[in-house]
Amino acid sequence: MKNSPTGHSSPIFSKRRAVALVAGLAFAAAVPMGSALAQANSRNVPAAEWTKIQDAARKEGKVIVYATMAPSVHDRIVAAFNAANPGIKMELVRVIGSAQTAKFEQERTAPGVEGGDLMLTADVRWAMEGAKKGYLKAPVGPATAAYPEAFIKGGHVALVGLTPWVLNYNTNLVKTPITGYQDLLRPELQGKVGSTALVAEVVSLFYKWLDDSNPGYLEKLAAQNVKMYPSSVAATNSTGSGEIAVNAFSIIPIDNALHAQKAPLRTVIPNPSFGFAYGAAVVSWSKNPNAALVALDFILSPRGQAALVGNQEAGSPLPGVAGSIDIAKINLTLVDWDKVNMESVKAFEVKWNKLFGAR
Amino acid sequence: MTVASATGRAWWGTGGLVRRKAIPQAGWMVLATVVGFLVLWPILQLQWRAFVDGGSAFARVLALPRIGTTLQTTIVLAILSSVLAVFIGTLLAWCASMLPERVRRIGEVAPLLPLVVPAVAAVTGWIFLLSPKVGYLNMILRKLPGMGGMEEGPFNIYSVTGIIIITGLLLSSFVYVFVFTGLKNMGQELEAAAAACGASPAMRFFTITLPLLRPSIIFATGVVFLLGLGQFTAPLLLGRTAKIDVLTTEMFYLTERYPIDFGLGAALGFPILAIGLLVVLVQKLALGEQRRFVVVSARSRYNVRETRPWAAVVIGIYLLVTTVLPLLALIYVSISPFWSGSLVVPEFTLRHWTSVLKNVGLVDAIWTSVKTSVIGIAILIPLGFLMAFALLQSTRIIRPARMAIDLFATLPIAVPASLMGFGLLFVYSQPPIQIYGTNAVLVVTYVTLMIGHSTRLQFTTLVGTGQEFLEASRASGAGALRSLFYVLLPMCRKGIAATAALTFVLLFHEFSASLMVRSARTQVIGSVMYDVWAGGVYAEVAVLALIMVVVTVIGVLIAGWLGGTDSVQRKD
Repeated sequence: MKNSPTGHSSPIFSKRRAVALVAGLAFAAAVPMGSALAQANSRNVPAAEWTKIQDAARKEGKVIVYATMAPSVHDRIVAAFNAANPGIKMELVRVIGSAQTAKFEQERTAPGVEGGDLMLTADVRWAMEGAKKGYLKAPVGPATAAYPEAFIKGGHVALVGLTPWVLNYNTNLVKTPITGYQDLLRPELQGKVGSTALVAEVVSLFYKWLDDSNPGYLEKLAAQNVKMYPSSVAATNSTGSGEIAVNAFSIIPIDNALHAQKAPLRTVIPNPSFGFAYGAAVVSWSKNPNAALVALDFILSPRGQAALVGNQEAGSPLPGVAGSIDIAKINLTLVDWDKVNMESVKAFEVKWNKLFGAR
Repeated sequence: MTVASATGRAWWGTGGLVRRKAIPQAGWMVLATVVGFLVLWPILQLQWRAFVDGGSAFARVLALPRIGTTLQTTIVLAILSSVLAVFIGTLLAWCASMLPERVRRIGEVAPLLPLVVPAVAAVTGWIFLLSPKVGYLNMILRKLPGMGGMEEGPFNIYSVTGIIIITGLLLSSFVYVFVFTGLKNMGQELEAAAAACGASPAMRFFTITLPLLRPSIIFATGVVFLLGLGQFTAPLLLGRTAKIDVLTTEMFYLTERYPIDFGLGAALGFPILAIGLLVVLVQKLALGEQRRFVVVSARSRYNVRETRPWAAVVIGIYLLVTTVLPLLALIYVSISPFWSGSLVVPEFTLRHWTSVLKNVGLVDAIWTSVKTSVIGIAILIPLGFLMAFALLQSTRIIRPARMAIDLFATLPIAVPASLMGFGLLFVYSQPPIQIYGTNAVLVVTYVTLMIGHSTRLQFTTLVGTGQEFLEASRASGAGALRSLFYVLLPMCRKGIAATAALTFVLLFHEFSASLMVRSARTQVIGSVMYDVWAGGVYAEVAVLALIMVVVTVIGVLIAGWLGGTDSVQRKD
């Protein structure tokens, strides 16, 4: 990321959560990689069995991944996996938001369809509930066994890519730098702010965090006549084009794609910031189950993590991953799916719909 | 007959009743059953979901946020875009009839060229032109005297007005097809008489030509009203950020959530279905027996319509606005590093073209579009031909079979593609025919959507051909199949090729139903283009749109080559 974040204190800061996260990461970092292999968890399989899985994966020849990350991240993951796993071709389809969950649900009830084997989803709640219902295969493999326990939800869903939500703005249109969410309320930005509609539960959680952390903020933001886009990529591209001046909801890899094109765009990691991790899991109806397990294991390995985090685009639960954001330094709180109350989220969505009049 | 009965040949054997009557009738019944299943099953299955549980789905519709506004927007869009399309299409037809000789050939085809540009590509091009802040046309207009102080506009594509205008322009070519055909086939004796009495061209147009064109205009109005009612592309691409929804976009959003509430979707589609059926019924009652309106060309000895150079100018402006400008915008954005709010781009690049052509998923989608369209045409042409032939055999096919075939050729035209797509997603993603996630669902979707068009277009060809030659062939001792392959099909070759060309255009451009039935891995070019658009990589959207245009032109040229040089123009 070219533009370093600018610190900005605001009432929505939640120091306790950030400290908890840092402590969690420190714990994860404290687990030595070498000894992790010896962990007595169910994800550890004997070398001979893992070799059998790898052989079977090569016979399957391919793995189909449905992912919701930025296109550049997908390209890196596919390139790294295909280079490291000759004989297994990764096919990655970008399906964003709740549409990915809808596709998996349809494929679950249509057993003849050769659909997604592995998910990289932001809809972690569905994956966690799916694990309880037997929709997911238990992940195994050396890297999977070494992955920090705190980042394997329900024994089936690996949390990867610790991603802060960021703001971005068009530097041709905004001359006074934007440093945090409060700046979006500036009068001169009336009608020039964009964001992303509730295309996934995780987006609802972002707005809920804003609302919970700073009561009354969303009402003021809605009064700015915010333009809602179907994805954060679309909103960011519109910021780059100048259609809107500032975008309240993006992630760093999306912004970096425009930085590379020399677009007049600046990225800001707010302080404090809120973020999420993607859920990675193999579905039980997979047509290429062994290849899917190998792919998931690769993603959880240091090489896979490096492809995922890119150059300072996300953090990794693994220590020492090249290019990983140092989460401890950016005051980030992550969505804690164990504590998400869906009833309150649904109630919040009704409020959001009334405020922003979009879907 | 009595003798034959006595020898036992009245029922069986050559010339027997079974072979002569029963087997063909059974064949027609089978045809009606197959097509009926294709067309009726998704509609009935889906609508059933709306009415189960005491119609609770309708209560859920009423609970949707802003449903009143959505319904109002749907109806306003259908009415105003139809009015605009009929006005522009009729004006174009009138202008085309007054073209000077040296530009006549190209001028008559020009209003059809917007059909080569897929709606999704045209709308994207218009976004690049008329986005309020960074649309190229808006930026140029803001440089005009008196507009210097404006920060945005003067046009806003992301508005109900913008959607109506774009939809009206997109539909105007269809009106032109019907009205211009009517105009061409119309004798000019009455106009000549009026001219002899001193009536001006404008007076002749309003008092003679326009009233005579009434059947064509009524038919065209019905068609574009139905298309406007089911309009999906423009509201989806232009309405989302402006919080503008129509019933079809609401249905699409349902497919993006889980579990998909098919009952709610069916209830949302019910008003469109009901109005669509009503319009078709009214159209049928107003126009009566179809064959009355298939005008066999009998050119008048008179040609009283003066040529007017300005008529070419009007058509030229139309072509510029609907086709040239959006295509130029698409080309410009496709070779820009990113869509920027600047008329001057510091560098041009082909990286987006490279990116698209190297993207396996996108290239696969393009091939899937071509493959499924070609397979669809291979099924639609013979199926449509048989149905058209059945409609022509008014007295030789038992009435129930003929009425059923007529109904099944009409229903797909009355039901908007997005609603049909929603129904197809429902029935083919569950047993007994679970083909969701395969290319087969796309082919079945295309056949279901286009069977009406294929039948109607080939019906016109068959009527134009006349039955005399077929009857002469049969009277000369040729069997049914021999007469078909040696007489009828060669005579219909150009018409069939024209139908194939138009069907290819419609299928390759198909967006609404494809977006409903596609799975994550079974994508066509329109659906991946939407994904790329929603993902916001506008330069890649521009590349895909241009690829769609190029492939469409190639497809039309191939169909034209197969059918003969003038076949493409012939149908239009």
